[in-house]
Amino acid sequence: MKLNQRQVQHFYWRAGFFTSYPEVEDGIEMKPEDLYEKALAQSQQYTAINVVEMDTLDYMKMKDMPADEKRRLQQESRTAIKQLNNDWLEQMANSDAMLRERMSLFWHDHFACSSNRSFFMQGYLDTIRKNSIGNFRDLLFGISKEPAMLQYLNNQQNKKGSPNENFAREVMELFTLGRDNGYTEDDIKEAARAFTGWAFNSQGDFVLRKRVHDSDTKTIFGKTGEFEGEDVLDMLLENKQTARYICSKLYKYLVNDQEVDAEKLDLMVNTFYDGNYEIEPVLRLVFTSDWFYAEKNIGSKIKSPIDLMVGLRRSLSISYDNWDGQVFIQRQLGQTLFYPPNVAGWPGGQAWIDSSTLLLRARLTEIILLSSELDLEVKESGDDNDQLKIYGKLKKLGSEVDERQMKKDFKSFKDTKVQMEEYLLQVPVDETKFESKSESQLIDSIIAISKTPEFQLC
Amino acid sequence: MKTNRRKFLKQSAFISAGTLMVPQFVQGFAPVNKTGRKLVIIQFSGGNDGLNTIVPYTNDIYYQSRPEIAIQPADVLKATDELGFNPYLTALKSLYDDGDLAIVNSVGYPNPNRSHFRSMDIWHTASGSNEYLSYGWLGKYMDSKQGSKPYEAIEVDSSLSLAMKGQSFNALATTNPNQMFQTTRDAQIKQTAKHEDEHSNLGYLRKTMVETVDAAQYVNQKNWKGQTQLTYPNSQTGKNFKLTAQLINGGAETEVFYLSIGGFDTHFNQVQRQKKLHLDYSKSLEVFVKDLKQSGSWDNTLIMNFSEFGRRVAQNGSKGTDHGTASNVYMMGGALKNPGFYNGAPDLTDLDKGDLKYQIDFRSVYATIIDNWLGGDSTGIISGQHKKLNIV
Repeated sequence: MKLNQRQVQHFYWRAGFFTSYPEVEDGIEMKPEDLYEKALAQSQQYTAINVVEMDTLDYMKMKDMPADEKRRLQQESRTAIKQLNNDWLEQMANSDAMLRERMSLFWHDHFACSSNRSFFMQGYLDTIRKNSIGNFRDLLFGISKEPAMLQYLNNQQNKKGSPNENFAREVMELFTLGRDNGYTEDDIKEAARAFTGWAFNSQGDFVLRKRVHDSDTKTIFGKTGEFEGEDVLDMLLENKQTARYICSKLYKYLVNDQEVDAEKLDLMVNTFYDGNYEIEPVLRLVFTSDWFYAEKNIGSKIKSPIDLMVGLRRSLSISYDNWDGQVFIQRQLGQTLFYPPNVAGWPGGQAWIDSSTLLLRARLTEIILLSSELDLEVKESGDDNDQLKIYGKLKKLGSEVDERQMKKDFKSFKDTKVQMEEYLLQVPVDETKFESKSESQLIDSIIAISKTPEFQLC
Repeated sequence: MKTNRRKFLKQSAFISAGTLMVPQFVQGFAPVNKTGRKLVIIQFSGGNDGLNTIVPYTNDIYYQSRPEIAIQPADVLKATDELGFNPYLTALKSLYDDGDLAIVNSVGYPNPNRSHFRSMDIWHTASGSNEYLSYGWLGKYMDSKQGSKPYEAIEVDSSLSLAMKGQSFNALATTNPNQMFQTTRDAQIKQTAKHEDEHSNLGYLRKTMVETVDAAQYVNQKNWKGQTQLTYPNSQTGKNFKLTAQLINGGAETEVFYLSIGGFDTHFNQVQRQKKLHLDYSKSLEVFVKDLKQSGSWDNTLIMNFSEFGRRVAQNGSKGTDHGTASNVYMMGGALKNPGFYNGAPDLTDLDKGDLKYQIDFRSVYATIIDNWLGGDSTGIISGQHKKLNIV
């Protein structure tokens, strides 16, 4: 099988966050395997994102601190989280490791988590990005011991004699088996005992607090023994339902969120389970199969806000000169990194779209390309310690377009309007209304295309 | 790449919103909401301190727990022998005196969560504290009435809250109908047409856009028609109340309005900060009520006011309060069956780790509103059985 332009673009949308026109051109006539190998090779590199050196929001240390000193530290931590948000977006937009970043976003949604402690969020992000195309067991074990997650799911309060079941419940319901798939309330209760004492110390490292850890006999999934937390995680992985649950989410994320082909899903589940939860073979299976490139899968998904924003950056040489513009877009469109709505992640799909998000999406490219003034205010979150607060009214997104680069990228175009449609739309449109809004035909056609509902698909 | 765009064109049945001469809403459809009743939700974001809002001014524990921030008895706008209003909530006091205010104390839910986001999520989706739901209670209510138009539920804000998101229903968010209308007049946006398959992702996108274009025109028209003569505070809150009044008085068939006021997360310097918020709210509310009374809409309107949680009984070290649990909900309108205090003052002698214990589940409030005020059926919208309150 040799790929045509639309199929190459399909690959770049789903395996990454789209790409420049020259790179699309390079992919035409390539075999799926070769395109995949190229992306995989580029994703082997790993650059950690480091913005803070240590945790400064330790409750014990802060106890006797004056109030304004506490506030200063909280403010510092918020700024650091904003920087993490920005730096990760930079990686998505500029790095060649597109497969790694695409899968990292998937896992951030899967292991949804939030914390006001920037050092914890940094550690959490590191674990996700390091393992995103590695092994799911490493990822599950790593995330389960991340201070951010232990804090988020109240495991610091999970103690022998007074268990807190939050982590035990979510690890089954959301991270492995899926809701109501092969566990009982008793399993949760007993598993919670195995996770007692899983905590973090003042350096922000995972510790097992022996004093509050329950090492007695427990009965979980019909087995009785002195199970530890690690044993519970391994029992969850032994159950093939975990592979099925993860793969069905992956199928919806990478292939098609409306129609799941049961046979293809089975192939993925078997590859994942038999391969001891290696993630890469499943990605290989998907991206090198003919069925992934089938007509019904192309352009079938609604871009997430991050897809939309990063896709614009990768395809149209757009950058931002400050953090607030990108935070504004994330907020208004309903997907802010490190800020999922709850532990279940973003509902996604059609839930991204309502009247106000769709109107902003339709205008976003124009606002960016013409540097228009914003007429929208940021919704207040109500939290005094809002992690990503934008202070004052944002007038401009602060986006910049490298027009020289853009002209270079599209220099081979003969029919700008038609070819731009083919490049920017995965679903053909009947007609776009072309208006002269700038001095550039390139920009005018991009704006016209960006206002079609089809532009929201990938 | 060769696409079959021409074929695609022919196969699709389009109804263009831009070329439709008469928008659907003018075509004489019967109003969906037969009663014409309005529901206005006001959310205090950040966790309003209920104890300094409805003050237990004869309770020693209250004063002992808050040596620096308690409201002194002389300042309280007294309502009963034990409870009174924050001095800056004069509008609530006069509504109370007129029999147009009902206060439900100690509203909350089991296993309370003290995170803003999580607790707000719980209030928005009417879920239990260990349930994660994707749709909001008002969105689901709109879902339950088939074929609702986006303008039937309007959030006066820049984006939609989870509470307003239905599975199929799309509410409208706007603070400026004229601006939204201008945006949708953009020829490139207006040309959007419906798609034959409304359930496909593309069909959904098109349908949403077409409905938004129609709704923007509708709302803009009603807003002009309802222009008020009264003067509202020039704050965002004042403007939001004003827009709500104009839409109601302009005859918009909007059943649900949703307004949020932020800034209630008063970890420090609470007295001054809450005063500013309460003053602005009270002044805006006062004009709003007057506006609705003048147009004869007050008896058809129910306002429900809530916050995602109350605050700790004891003050903290920065003359503020930290996140708490149960708090009070106020309901206002000209047609209350049972105004006044619905239940007794919160019990400060029986706390859970320094926090109030809830007495009334917030889902009882929701079920009451849906069943008794809006004439809907809360079964299927709000999970579990919840006792209705004899308020409306």
